[in-house]
Amino acid sequence: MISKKDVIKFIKKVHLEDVTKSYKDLLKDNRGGFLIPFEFKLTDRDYERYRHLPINWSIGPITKEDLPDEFSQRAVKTVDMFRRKTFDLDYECLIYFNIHSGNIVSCAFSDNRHDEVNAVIFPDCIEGMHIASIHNHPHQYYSPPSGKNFEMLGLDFEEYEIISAKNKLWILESKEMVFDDEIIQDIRKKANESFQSYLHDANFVLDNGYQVIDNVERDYGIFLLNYLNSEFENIKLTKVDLND
Amino acid sequence: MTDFDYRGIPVHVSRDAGYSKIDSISPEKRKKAKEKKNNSNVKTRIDVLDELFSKMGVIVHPERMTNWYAFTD
Repeated sequence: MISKKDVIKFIKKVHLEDVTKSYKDLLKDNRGGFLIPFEFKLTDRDYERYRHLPINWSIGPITKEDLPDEFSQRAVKTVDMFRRKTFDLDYECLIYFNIHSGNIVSCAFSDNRHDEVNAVIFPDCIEGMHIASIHNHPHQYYSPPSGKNFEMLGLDFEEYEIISAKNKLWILESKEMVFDDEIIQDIRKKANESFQSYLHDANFVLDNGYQVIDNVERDYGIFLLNYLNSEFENIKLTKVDLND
Repeated sequence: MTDFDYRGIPVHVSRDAGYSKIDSISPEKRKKAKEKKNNSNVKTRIDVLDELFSKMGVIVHPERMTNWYAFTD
């Protein structure tokens, strides 16, 4: 029986560069013998950071009814914890997780830019899994997806994209990658134009800033729901109102 | 370094935080919106109220028309 200590000692001795270089040859080696799996977990700084984010227990829970039927109870828990951890953040966080096991497969934070978060996904590692992403829209941003979103429509490994906002969840579902870049760009353009038009029509004279924001958020959200759900068979956008 | 990555080909993904509320109601934005309204022939709610008050012979300071108390004052 090999102890955990022995494995750690071994890993420390082996340089990752050597492993990657020799891995191909190692796979071809059919002489038998003991093969230590190389899928050891490397420390992921962003995941460590996510794990240590404080949890806000004062907000209401996400329940199974708030999410698509396909999400397991563990996945519901993952979404609930994500919302609690990111509710008070004024920057973005993005996680990818398995909707059956609830396990997080990737995690990233916006670093210098507060309005964008970037991550790297290795599709080979998540092959066969049913994957969803969730990211937060901090309170100083509108809750609905902006024109910059909709990237997931061109990704075949991502089935759901969830946006967690102050009192709303937006769930974008698209299981088939049937959209080429041109269609995605068209959706983005329409979303941008629509948002700008609602902003243009906002009554800056009669309404105060909060009313303008509320009206634009409501009207732009209704537009997105109508446009995406009626124009495309393979896209489903859902808005979930949350009471905190 | 080697170009071989045992995890496969990476895909870079990006998600944005949504439209900024602060930018959308910035003074510049409000000014532009007001200018557009001034240059258009479409009657805004404030135009309708203006007409109504002038017919009634009520003079209301524009700044006080920011809410419905204008009716009760």
